[in-house]
Amino acid sequence: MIVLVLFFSLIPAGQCGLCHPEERVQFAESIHAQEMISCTDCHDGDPSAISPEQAHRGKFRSLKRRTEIPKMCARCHSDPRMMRVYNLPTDQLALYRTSQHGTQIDRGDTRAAVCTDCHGTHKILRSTDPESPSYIRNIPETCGRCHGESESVEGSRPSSYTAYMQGVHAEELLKKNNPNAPECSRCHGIHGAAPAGVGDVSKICGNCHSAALRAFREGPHAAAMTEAGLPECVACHDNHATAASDIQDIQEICSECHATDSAEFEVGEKMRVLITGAEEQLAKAHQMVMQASSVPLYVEDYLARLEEARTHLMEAEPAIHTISLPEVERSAAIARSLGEEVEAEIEGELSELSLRKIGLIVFWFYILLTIWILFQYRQRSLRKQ
Amino acid sequence: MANETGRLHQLIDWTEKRLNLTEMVSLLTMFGLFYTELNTSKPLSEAVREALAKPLPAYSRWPRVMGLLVLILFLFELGTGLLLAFYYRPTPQESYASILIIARGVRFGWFVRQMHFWGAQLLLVILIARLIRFFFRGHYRPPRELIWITAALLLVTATHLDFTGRFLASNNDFYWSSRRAMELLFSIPIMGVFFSFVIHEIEDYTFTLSRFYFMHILMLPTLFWGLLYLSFSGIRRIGLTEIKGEEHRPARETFPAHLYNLLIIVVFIFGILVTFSVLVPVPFGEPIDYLETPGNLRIPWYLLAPYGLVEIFPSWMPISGRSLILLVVLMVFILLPFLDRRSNREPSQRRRIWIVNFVLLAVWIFFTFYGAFLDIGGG
Repeated sequence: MIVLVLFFSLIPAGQCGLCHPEERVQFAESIHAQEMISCTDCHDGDPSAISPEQAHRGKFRSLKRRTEIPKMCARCHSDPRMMRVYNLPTDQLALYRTSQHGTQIDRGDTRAAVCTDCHGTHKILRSTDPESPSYIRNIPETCGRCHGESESVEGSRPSSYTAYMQGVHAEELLKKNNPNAPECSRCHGIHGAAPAGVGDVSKICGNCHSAALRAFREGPHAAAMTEAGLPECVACHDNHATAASDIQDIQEICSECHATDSAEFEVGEKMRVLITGAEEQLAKAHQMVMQASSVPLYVEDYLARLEEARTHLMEAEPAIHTISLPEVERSAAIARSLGEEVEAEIEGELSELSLRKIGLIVFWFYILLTIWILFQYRQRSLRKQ
Repeated sequence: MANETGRLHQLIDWTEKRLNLTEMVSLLTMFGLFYTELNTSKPLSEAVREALAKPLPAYSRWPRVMGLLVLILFLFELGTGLLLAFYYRPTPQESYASILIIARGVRFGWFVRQMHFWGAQLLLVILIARLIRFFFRGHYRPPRELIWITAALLLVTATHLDFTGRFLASNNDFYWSSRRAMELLFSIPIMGVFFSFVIHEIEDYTFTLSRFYFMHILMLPTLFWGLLYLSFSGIRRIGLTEIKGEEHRPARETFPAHLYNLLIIVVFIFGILVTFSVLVPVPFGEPIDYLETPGNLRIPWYLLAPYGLVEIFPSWMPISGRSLILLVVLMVFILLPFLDRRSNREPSQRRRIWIVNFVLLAVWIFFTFYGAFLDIGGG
């Protein structure tokens, strides 16, 4: 018994684990256990007591009321002196109070998320731990637990989680392991999570797509959408099921607002032709470069120029958002002309190689001549006998 | 003119008093260039004159010059290989880049590289053709056993030379096809253990590359050279093969005519090599990607038949069991003279033997095609 008591008193869970073995196991894996935080730091009570009644005496808190939790966590996490050594921020509670989650909780709606819903209760892990629900790749699923299909808090609207999983951002983050792709919190905020206002969409998207945002603001769409109360980027690209618009689909996208015989529709079509033309030219030039590299010719120069052309083409894509034909044309035309230049030069070098074939014919003439001369010598040496 | 020849003779005489020139030239003739020995006790000019005056047998012409062509092509490979070795760097970091430099930066480097590759392929073709001829003519029967064995070993050595050469090329396709071929070699019981000791696993590419480089430029060429010497030594002892009826034909040609014949063939072969090098360039391929096997790989063409043979068995059969058959085939091939001791002089038997030979050749061609069209996925 003494050994048991000694053993349990050595771990931060104290003797609570005698009655709460599951919680003890979960807690032992958490970052809090590693930092020697004990059950009583959150729950109070008497950890050395052997009976439940004694243990749960005095200021003991079960923390079963969800509304208590944010304040509870903030006792440490809002204390700059305590958090300084971990280099952690202390503004989580303040942010949380401004969030949709926080305001709902304040109003007494206990369905709204509190700290433990996203971070776990006893088994709280660092957010850099891939097992943690707040790990970047796990965030969509964590949010999806409430904003998903099964338990939608969004009423009859299609769930944000399902839509997100169909979008290009989810594909980049989860399938291609691109850490730059946003999960939910990059657009909505972490502790201060809230839906974006209609006028704020372009600002949020522009955090990453800055070139597209700049172009969008220069173009006629920005003012027109504000006037019409349309949610900027989302109007064409969707919010959660964010789609990387293919230039080939531009007719379909424009026709959502513009008549197919309108001047605006025609501008879209012209941009498509410009971009597609440049893309095709670059693909053709690239193929020729590859052909030349197997000949073999020096192609590193050409490859670098094609890369430069691709950069110009990439600039043309955000320029589409200006809806200004000259803007798009400028970048696309540079890309295209670079591609044409490379193609023409490679063609020249390849045709020089056909000179080798002509050389081969001359070479064979000499080979046959040599053989004929050798044959004559042979006959002469035979006649000598 | 007469003065000049006089001076040349004076120079030869001067050297002759100080060096045994006849012996030196005799050493060169060991490699099949002369059909007869030089009398080393006589001065060079006299010994050569004596040898040149001897008439050649009427049958010393195509196709009995294939051994000589092997020598010539081998010398050609030595020459081009020497030039390539000036610029090649046998380290994994630099090998691919150094080949790019050879092919694009060095003047006529691409040409030397292509000639080296196509020369090696032609050398293999001639070695195989020579063996097929020996096989059909029954030239492995006494007293030609050793000539057959050296011819077979020459082919084995040449395939190793080609194989190591492909590895040195350091491009992805060659690397992975060598790797596949090595897996085939390692799976052969007993011999595979020996191979895997010499070649070892290629996980550590650094060591493999330097080891292969050593084998390619020194070990295997020396072995090849030794085998060539043995082969020619056997031929000088036994004489060229003769076809029934030819041996009684009067000797017609003398050495100069024979030399002209050879030169004509050499010039023609050189023409073919240049044509291949210009029209069918060997691509560089991509640099090696150690992590991903490219799909649709082909092992070198001369290994396709053994590969097809191993792959035709159902997959539940262990690879070592399948390659045991390969080992048996290889041993039968090399030790053929000691296994087939019948005489084919009787006309009744000869016809039967020809049919068997054709069937064997057809089986080899079948397996080559089978190996070539097997679908090999990446993985």
